[in-house]
Amino acid sequence: MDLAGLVRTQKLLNTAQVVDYLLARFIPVAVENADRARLVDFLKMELGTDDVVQAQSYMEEPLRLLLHLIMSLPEYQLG
Amino acid sequence: MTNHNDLGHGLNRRALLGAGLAGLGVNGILGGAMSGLRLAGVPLALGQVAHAMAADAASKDRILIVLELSGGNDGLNTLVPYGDDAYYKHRPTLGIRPNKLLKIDEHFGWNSSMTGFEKLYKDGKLAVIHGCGYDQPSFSHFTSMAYLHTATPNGGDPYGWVGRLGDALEPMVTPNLIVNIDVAQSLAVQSRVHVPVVFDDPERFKRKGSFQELRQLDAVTQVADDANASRAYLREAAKSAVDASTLVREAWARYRTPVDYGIVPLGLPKIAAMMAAGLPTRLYYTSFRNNAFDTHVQQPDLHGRLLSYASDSIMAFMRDVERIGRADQVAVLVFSEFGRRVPENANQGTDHGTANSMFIIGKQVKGGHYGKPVNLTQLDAGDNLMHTTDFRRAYATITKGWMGYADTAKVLKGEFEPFAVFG
Repeated sequence: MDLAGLVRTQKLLNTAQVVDYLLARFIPVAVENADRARLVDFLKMELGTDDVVQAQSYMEEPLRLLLHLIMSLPEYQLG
Repeated sequence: MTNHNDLGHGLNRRALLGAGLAGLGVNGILGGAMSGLRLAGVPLALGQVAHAMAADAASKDRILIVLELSGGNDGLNTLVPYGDDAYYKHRPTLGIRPNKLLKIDEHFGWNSSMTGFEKLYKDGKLAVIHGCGYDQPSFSHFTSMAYLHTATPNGGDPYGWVGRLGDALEPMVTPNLIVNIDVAQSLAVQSRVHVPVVFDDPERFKRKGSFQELRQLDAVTQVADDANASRAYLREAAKSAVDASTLVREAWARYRTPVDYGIVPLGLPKIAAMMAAGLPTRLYYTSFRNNAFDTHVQQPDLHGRLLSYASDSIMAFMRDVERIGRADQVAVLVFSEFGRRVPENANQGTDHGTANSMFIIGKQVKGGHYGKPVNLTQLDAGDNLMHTTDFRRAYATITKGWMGYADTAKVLKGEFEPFAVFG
């Protein structure tokens, strides 16, 4: 899976857009705002920036961690 | 159907209390009664209520540990009927000679490796329930074990008998009520209401993830009144898992014992650790795993070792719970999915059989023999023992006699007479 390529293809610009896109794609129900905010903060922390365009060259590993966290949410089992 | 609050003397505790005894100041009287005041001047009904409440309170503190000896333990070479010539006729090679046994009476002796069981028996803390089995026995490990797990021989049930016992004892979700120490959850603890805590290595009982993920993985947002019942259930289960793993890891980290559990401790020191840490668990389940007791080939030395591991560990566990002041609260049930065929095979081993002994161990156990010993001269067409005790009588003994739940039919799906193993 090429998550960095997916982010580029979808023209996602910031960490919030990345989280929202992945949540919509992998979680069938809305997640709590607190969970979403935590995920956004996590990705921002891992990338060191809110701007995913700047982080394109090294964002694959942080994106994989993010996806792991999303798939570890209880709501993922509803899919 | 028996009311589970009917405490055996025609009084229903809840009904009596509900009838207004509390308004008569019974709470104060009972409080005094249970702290040692004489009841001579108290009306009979109040005395009975006091007795009922004391018994109820005592049984609520009680803990059951179930130890499964997987593979089909050879009961005849565990507690050897050396006084029966038929035993030696069937087992000219594998039959253990009387001078090699730890004799407990003129008919039976423990396998010489079971010094722990010998001491427990001689101390009056070990009950042997003879001839446990069921009609139309299965010789499949998986099938027979499933029958023992669900207490529904030649049938099936989605829930295990320990799980159903948990549901009966606590009809509402109760975190950490059931703990199963193993690599995978046993069918025996499958519950309709409760989510058993299942772990093998306490130190690794946590979500797997990279270092930077760990804090995120343990965060479970609590949502009040979630309209999505499935999501609410999943969140609750996730929260429960995180809480339980924290408790278990902390309990194990704090646990120190001078007691030697021997070469194979089984899950028993982990149970002692959970008890020492004050977990509210009432039902523990663990196993001597990997089909270890399936002794088809070269049985004598191997079986002796297996029995010594089990016996040493159980004896150590009883010492350990005594050390932490919890021995009065513990009963251990030991069982296997079946026994072995009576005649030995050509490979110095024994094959899958039928009836077997079960053992109940504890400080409050009235040690001795229960049930009718199996008859080695009246075997079935396959040279197997005919059972003398429906194994669910042992479960009924635990359910009613130890855990204090009188409606055994609800747990065991039928009426089975308990043995008077407990005082």
